[in-house]
Amino acid sequence: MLIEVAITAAVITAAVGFISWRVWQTLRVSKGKQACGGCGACPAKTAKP
Amino acid sequence: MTATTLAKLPVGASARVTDVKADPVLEQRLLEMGLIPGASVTLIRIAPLGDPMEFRVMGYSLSLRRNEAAAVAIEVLP
Amino acid sequence: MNRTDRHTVALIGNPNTGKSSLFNALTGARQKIANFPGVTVEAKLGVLKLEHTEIDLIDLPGTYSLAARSPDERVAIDGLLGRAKGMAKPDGVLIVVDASSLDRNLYLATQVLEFGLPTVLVLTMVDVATERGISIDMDKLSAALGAKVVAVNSPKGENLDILKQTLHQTLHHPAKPLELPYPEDFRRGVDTLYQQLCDIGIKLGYTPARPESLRLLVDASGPFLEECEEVAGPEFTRQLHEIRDKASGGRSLALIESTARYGQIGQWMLQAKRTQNREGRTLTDKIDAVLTHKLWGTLVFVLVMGLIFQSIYAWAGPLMDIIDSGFGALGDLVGSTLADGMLKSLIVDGIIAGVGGVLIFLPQILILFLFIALLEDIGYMSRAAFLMDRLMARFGLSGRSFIPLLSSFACNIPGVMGARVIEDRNTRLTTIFLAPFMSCSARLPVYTLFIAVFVPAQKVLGFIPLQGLVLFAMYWVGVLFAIPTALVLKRGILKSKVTPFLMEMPSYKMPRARNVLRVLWDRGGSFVKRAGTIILALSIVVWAAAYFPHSDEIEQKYDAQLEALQAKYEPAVVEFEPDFEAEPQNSLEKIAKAHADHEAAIAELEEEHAEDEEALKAAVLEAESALVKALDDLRSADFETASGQYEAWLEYTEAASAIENDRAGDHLENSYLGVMGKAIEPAVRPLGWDWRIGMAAIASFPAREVIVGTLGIIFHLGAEEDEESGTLRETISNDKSFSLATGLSIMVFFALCAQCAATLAVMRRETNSWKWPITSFVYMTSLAYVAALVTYQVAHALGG
Ligand SMILES: Nc1nc2c(ncn2[C@@H]2O[C@H](COP(=O)(O)OP(=O)(O)OP(=O)(O)O)[C@@H](O)[C@H]2O)c(=O)[nH]1
Ligand SMILES: [Mg+2]
Repeated sequence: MLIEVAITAAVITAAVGFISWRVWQTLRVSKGKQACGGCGACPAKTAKP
Repeated sequence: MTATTLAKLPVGASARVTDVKADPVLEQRLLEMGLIPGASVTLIRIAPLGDPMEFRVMGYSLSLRRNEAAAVAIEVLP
Repeated sequence: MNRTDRHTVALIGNPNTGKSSLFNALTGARQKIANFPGVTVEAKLGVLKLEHTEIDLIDLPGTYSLAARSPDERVAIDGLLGRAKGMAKPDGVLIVVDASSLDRNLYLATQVLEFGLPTVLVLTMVDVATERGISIDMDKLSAALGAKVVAVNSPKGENLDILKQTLHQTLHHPAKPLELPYPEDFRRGVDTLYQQLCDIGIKLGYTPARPESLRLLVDASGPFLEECEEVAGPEFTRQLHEIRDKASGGRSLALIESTARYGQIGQWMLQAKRTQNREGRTLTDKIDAVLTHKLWGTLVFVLVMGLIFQSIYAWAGPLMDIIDSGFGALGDLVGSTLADGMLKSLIVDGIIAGVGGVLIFLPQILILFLFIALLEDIGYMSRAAFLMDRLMARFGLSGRSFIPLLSSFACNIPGVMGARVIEDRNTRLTTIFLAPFMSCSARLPVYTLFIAVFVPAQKVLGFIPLQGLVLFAMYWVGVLFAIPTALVLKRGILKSKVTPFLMEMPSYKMPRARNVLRVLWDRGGSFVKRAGTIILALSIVVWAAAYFPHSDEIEQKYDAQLEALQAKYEPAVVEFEPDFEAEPQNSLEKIAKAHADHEAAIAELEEEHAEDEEALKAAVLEAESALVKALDDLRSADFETASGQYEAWLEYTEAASAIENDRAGDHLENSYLGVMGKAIEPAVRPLGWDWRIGMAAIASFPAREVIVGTLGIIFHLGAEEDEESGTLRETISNDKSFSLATGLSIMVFFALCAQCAATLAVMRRETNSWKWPITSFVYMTSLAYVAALVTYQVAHALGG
């Protein structure tokens, strides 16, 4: 029971963290600091400089 | 030989460019695309709705709107 | 250890000459390749590893000249001059030249060669040139240009090694700038200006190259001119005009430059190029005679569109069912292994329902992209632009807007970025603003889900399937709203004079299976990746919002109800759990089994006689008498008692599952999501939505397809499933709060709303201001709301 709650809490935290990271990335893209937000919408893979 | 503009060329006919006169930006574009005085041009077809027109120049196909074609003075070749 | 050299080499050339194909072949990157000008609009970096040398290759957008006007051309020139952000100044150049229109391609080549960078001229499309009877003497060409010339075929991988070797050697030799025979006055003008530029260079922070002063002399406008005027002031502008007057001698400077270049190219070509059988019609001409024909062209266009929308239904259906049943089985498996509780709900109701709900649309997305890739590879996009330019002109747009808008049907982001090919700022902004109106692939799941539920699978006029037709219509909704929007913008704030159309028509090419398969693989892969990352994360959050607080109070309330119910029945009834697979042991089990068999038989008959009602009735009657007979056979001493228990058990299970449903519903309504939903419900009621749809629409703000996953989660949580998990389609069609009118209203809303965070972010970047994405979002959301409202009210009034 306790372990169930712990796992669920961890999963939710991870999800929220991931979304925040994506929001931050999207903002960076909008400012032109990053070419791609990794939204997966385009297939082009940018090679690393 | 009759002097006119590209916009008035009949489909299938060929012509030689004599001059290009338009606002500087369009003029430069047309020249760069190969429509320089002396170049020969053929009208391949006109789009079904009457505009744009497709020309053959320097061995490739270029499509221009009628008003852009009107900037290119030509003499029709027999 | 060996020392490794590092170089930066730019790929420059006319649009659609095969730069990205070469870039991909050399670096193993996966840049988009397609057969129309203006595919690449960004500078992209890739690494080419040679012995002792590493080369940073820069793939650039195509340009016809260094006189840049549109943003994509500016990117190309900045890349060449080393002024692109985050990229080094190239110390070598690969000029990519289409051999089938060599003269025009060499125009840009002469401009680049004047920089005197180590250069290799790469001939592409030699196969096309040969087909047209053009043969090129590469030695003579090389001697004339003063640069090495290599012919490659990147799609086939031919001669890439020779190119690598040649590039390697070239980078280690200094190069000499090309000298062209300009008229004396013109040359002097360039020299004078160059002196001035070197002074200005101190203020600019870099030393301009000599050919840049030529650009400054000739080009009437441009970013470099603006920059110089800004740092050097009006005095410079005055002097520039003086120098220009002297250099021109009364003629147009652009004319002097272009005749000098083309004059030189013409002389070279006399030596280096041979053309035979000029008169024969090429394959491209023959295809164009049909595809751009008034009647046949339109017919082909309509047929192709019909085929696309039809196949999305016809082909995707079976594949979707496979994926769907896969997720169903996965859910059942997890459901039976995990104990009831939070974690099981997270996995089954949250992750599987949410992610699975989106993933089942993979086949449709792939089919859509298959067609788009084929059309792009063949070279149809430019023809479509040619056919439609007149219409676009009527809405104040240029035919150049057409291709970005067309690509928006795949995804709005490349559409917004593709607008870089448009020179005029206002036309470009209008195009960017219109791109989100085009129905992108993320809207496909929303359309297909609701069409599958509400639109019957009939045929119109006997042969046109209604579902495909409605899907087709949904794509038009966005277009129909885009037209007045364009008119208003172009008449109002974004007025501009007509922009040049001037488009090269590429030759038709056979689509390459490898390229098409790769597009599918990449698109499919990114769809799955998206489902596995952002959609997974959003699903988890939505689940959490819809699950918690999951109060004990509610639990206890329903536990008490259940206990009260159980008290009414004998323990034999409450505890009875028939296993229809096993051999029945006692009378109760035998009776239950007979009923279960009967129900299964009826279901089978219904499927068998779906078309013929009369036959069905007869067969059902027959089955019913068979049941009566079977029950008769079971008569024994305890038959009456067992029958009574069976009836009681039916009654009990129904009441118990009603309690469980109420419990789930109560939990959902009191969840965070439910409470928020109830609060916003009044706002979405007029659209025919209940709070669940309203919340699903809000949750899909970051990405449209999330609505499908969210609905899946809400429905899973909101009802304790009694039978095996039904698909979302079935659940929705059984739900009373959904009607055809509601379905139409949701589809219209999603056709018009701007629910895509990534697109808004890219709009911000391309327009360099938050003004446009915010305007777009507010405008499109209001439009979507009003249109959905009208749709619902009208459809409802008509009895939908
Ligand atoms: N027949 C033939 N086709 C080629 C060759 N090289 C490239 N192509 C095709 O030419 C088309 C254009 O290729 P891209 O690599 O996208 O051209 P690009 O120069 O990057 O185009 P932009 O990014 O629009 O400037 C594609 O359909 C390629 O498959 C070649 O040597 N022969
Ligand atoms: Mg490219």
